[in-house]
Amino acid sequence: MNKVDQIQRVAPIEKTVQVKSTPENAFKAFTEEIAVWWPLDRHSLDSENVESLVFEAELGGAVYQTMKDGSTIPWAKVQSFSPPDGFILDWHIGVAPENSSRLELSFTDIGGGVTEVALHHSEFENSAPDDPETYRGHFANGWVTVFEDCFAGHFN
Amino acid sequence: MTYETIFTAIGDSTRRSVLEALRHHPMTVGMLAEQMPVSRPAVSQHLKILKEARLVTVTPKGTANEYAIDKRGLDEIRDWLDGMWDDALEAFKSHVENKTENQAKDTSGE
Repeated sequence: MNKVDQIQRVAPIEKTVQVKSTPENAFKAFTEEIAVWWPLDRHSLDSENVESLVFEAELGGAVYQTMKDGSTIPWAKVQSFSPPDGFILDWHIGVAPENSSRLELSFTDIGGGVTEVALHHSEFENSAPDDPETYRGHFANGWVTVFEDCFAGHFN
Repeated sequence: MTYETIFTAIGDSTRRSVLEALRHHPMTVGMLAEQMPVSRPAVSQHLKILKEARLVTVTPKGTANEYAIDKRGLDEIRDWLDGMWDDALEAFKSHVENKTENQAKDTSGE
């Protein structure tokens, strides 16, 4: 299995949305205010016990969900942070940070008071290291590894 | 079959360990129980939940059943991620635009 095959198998997720706002406000809303709008009831791990979502809006910051019992579950780490143009996250819910996929958001002023927000979730294949021992080391930590690895065609 | 079923299935660390083990090669309940810090009946129960979520398949092998990763559930997880972003971006748009509207009202003194 070469790298090209893997990339073809794991299609990136690409989305755009246009919002009536400045890039500055849209960027701030996506990061600092994420807990206000993120649909945690539908999109979180263990949704019955989740409390909130935190986005540490700075380079190297963490994104994590907080639980009612005070514990936290990491989602991502801020890899690049350039307000109001965009940011890049290492997305690693449930896996070791070195097995992250890449989530990139960009905020572009397209005129008329409208900002286009583009989302690109990619590099799922990066989360499949070649060495099975590496996986054993991460034994209990991940459905994303499992899913991404299978998508990359490594199982059988 | 809902994504909730899948997430309930993978929301448990023992079941994630089971999936992780099966990722290397198919196994019977007995083989899995040897590797897991839980009893054989517990492993069976976890496998039942994973099977319902279409995350594992079961194939009779002699006197035992052999379990393997089922790609269908995994495909659904990817679709779920895709849907998650649709949902999240829609919620994001509402939030930003409500805020913009309220700020406009504040500025105009309404």
